[in-house]
Amino acid sequence: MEQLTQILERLNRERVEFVLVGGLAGVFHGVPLVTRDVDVCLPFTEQNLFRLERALDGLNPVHRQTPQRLAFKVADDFPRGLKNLYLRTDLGVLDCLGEISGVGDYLAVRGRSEPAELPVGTVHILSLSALIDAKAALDRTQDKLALIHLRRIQQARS
Amino acid sequence: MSNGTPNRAFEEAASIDPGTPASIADRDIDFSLLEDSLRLTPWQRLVENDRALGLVRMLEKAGTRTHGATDPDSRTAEP
Repeated sequence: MEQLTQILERLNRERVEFVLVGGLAGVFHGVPLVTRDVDVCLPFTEQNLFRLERALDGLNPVHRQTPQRLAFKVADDFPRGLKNLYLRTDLGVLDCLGEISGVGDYLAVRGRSEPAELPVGTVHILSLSALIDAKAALDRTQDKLALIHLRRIQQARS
Repeated sequence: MSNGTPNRAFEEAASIDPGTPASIADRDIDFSLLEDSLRLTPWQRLVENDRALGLVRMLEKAGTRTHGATDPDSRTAEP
């Protein structure tokens, strides 16, 4: 059974540096649409990738967009310059992104995030305005409904 | 969400320009779900998403048992 909150707990436990973005960040802000995956933006440094690997230990992480469903392993020959990782784990889908359209690279994303105290620890979450910028930049059909809700939430807060 | 079928709701959402005035873009969207969501704490929303996702998966499996897999992704989605 998928438990996306447990993925967050594991990332935090292993001190993976990340910002929660995407649909689950929308849920955090109030969007009433079910999301199936965890999207995070993170620096693709060697140290952070090893922490990510430890966080997913025992969850059978695989690269879900490879036909062979290759196991996710951070070895010495791990490709440098990676920008994204699309993983499936026993707890659900985890997409790791190096940059976010409409916002920028990890540092820009981090700069537009807010720390949230959750039962799983402190999680940095993309701010509402940045999430709106990101969804608007994607201009995908699947995001339009979420965007309408996000703008409603923004109106309600102001 | 619209009052129509999920497919119709999806098509309507796709046709909406989120940048249009709220009075136009908000047609057929049930904002009571948003109001309910905003009554929860952020953590409660995340937990509710987990619960809803569990229900979605259960229904998908039941649908697959009844009708067979129709979406290639659904056949590979099992952990």
